[in-house]
Amino acid sequence: MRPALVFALSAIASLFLAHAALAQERIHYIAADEVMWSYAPHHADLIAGRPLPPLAPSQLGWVYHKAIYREYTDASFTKLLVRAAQDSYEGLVGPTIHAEVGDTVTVVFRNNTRFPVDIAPAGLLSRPAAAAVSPGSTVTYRWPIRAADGPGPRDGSSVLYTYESSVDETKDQNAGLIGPLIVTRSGAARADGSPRDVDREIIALFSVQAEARSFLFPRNLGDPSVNPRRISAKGILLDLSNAFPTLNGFVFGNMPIPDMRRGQHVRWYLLSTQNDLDGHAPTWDGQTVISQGNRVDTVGLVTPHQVADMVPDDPGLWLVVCEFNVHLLPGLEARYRVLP
Amino acid sequence: MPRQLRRAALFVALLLCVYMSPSQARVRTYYIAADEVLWNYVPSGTNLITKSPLPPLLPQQLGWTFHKAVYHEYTDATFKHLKPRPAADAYLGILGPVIRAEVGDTVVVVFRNNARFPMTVHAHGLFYTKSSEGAPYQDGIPAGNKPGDRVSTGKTFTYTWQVPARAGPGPGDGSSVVWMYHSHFDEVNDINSGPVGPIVVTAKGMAKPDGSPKDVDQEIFAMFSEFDENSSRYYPINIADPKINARHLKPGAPFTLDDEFYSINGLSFGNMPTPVLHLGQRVRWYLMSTMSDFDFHTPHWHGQTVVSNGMRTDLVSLSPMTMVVADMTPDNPGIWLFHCHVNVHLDRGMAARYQVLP
Repeated sequence: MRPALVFALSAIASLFLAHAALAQERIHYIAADEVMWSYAPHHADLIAGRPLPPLAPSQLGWVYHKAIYREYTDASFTKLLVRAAQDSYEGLVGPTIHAEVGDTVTVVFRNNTRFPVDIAPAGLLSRPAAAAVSPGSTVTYRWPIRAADGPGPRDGSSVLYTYESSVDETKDQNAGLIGPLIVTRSGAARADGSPRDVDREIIALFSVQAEARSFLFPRNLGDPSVNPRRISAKGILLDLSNAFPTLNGFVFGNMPIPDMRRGQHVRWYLLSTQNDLDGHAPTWDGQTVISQGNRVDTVGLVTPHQVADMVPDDPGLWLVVCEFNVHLLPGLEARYRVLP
Repeated sequence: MPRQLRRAALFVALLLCVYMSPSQARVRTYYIAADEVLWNYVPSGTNLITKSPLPPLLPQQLGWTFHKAVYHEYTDATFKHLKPRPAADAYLGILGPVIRAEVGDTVVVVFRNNARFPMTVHAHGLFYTKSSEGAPYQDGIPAGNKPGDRVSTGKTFTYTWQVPARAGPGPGDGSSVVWMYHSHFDEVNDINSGPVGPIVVTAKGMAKPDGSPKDVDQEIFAMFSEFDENSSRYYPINIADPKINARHLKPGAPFTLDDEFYSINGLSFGNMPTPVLHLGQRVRWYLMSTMSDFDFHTPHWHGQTVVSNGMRTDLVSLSPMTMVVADMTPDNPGIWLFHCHVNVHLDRGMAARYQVLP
């Protein structure tokens, strides 16, 4: 064989090898943990600069037992992987799972709650059949990420899915078990799986957390530290009084303020739960976004996930809220900061 | 190339540059007041779609006419002379004047508050500094440094908004996009009181001198709005006014839905004047919605199709405060229905007509 041909063939072969080497197994150690969650840790309406509104007639309070996904360092599930300070705004949202098309996501899942729950990707081709994980058990899931899971012809470099507990979707989502799964186009990812052309990713879960439909609600009713007024009523009033329209599990501007810089390429991943009262209209003051190719400042979030790209050009502290008055008035409002 | 020829070529090139360079950035100034009006959702007193009487008043419904505040355009800073709205634009109804800009322009709104409550003008999409945001909240700026956040009765404030590329069409948009402007002193209650209007931003180089897009023959604006009169700043005034509340109803339960008005441009049951389109013209529809409890809408055209976000359809969907563009080339003459397809909205009058002339 002529040397030039040998060289060409080996170059092509090495390209394939290099490409194959890029396909990674991405391992996450994620537990469902029971926590005490405060929707308003500052005990104030930080947007209007005033006290929180008085409790609704059958509202237990602002703090509830909830179950959330948290990431650990290894399979011993003894050390939490600490969330970076700049990501503290993510609140009750589970850890972000990144994958590039071709990768396999491996989730070692521990159920630390006292209820049967699981963890399952919503929307991925490989969505496995639901199988409840009993309390205290550990199960390993493998989710292959196929090309058809990745961005479509009109998407950007990454698309969003959610993962959630699928044993009883209503009760599990209202307990707080939901997180984002981001799939990046093949060849467009950094080593950590995030898209190379994006400088800052923001996770924003718009969710009406209906506590009366959480599997932990009986526990909340019975715990005097959560329910000091000993509310015991049943029915629609209890349901409505304990439904919190939240951004990442916070109301009335209590979400820590995410920072971004002027000129950065910021990608907002907009997630939503699927409760009766969900159906959101995220909107930003101060900047515009590109969503589905259109320039807008408000996005209809009727489906559970959307992506919006922002290049901030207007420094300051700005509102990000749901424009739906039924959500905005009871507190679905937060702020983000653009640094000069 | 001989020197003269080279010089001539250079001259022609220069001329071409001047001729083809984008139109000059302009400052577009509008004189807009919030004026108090008596607003009737059904001025004809009948259902013009079915040519039948209006439905009977609901138990807690005050009537069909309410005190509201709307944005009006004036000729100058004296705010003495209203700028007349052409008859062809009568269908705009409760909408404030159309504010136009081309990317690169600056929009100046000299705002006079003639209403009895503090009001503001808050723009979607355009670039504003904190002093021209027109929305008070805890944003780290002392209240005294943001006079645009609260314009008291009788006062005037000048808002300045820049129009950078990010306020104009995105990669999947046509030659223009639509934004809304509205009062945002007390956002939800202000919008239900009425002051809201459209902004059109045209891509650089794509605007006629008046700012409208060159490649469009006619633009139609349609705001699908559930006006909740119980959440209007004027609710106590409406309750107390026997002309409005002829049955002397007492304030209802907080969740009563009887004073919710499902309207297009503030007009219900076909009472919106019928816009007239022409066969074969390029018609751009700008669709908007407000932010009340049920402001999820599905505008649907009978008789023609549209292209929205690159897709052929005859129905688009709106979420609260979303703004959507749909392009139509009418090919089917007649008077056609244009309505929201959500049944409770349609039943309560969210329907209008448009006409296509041969």
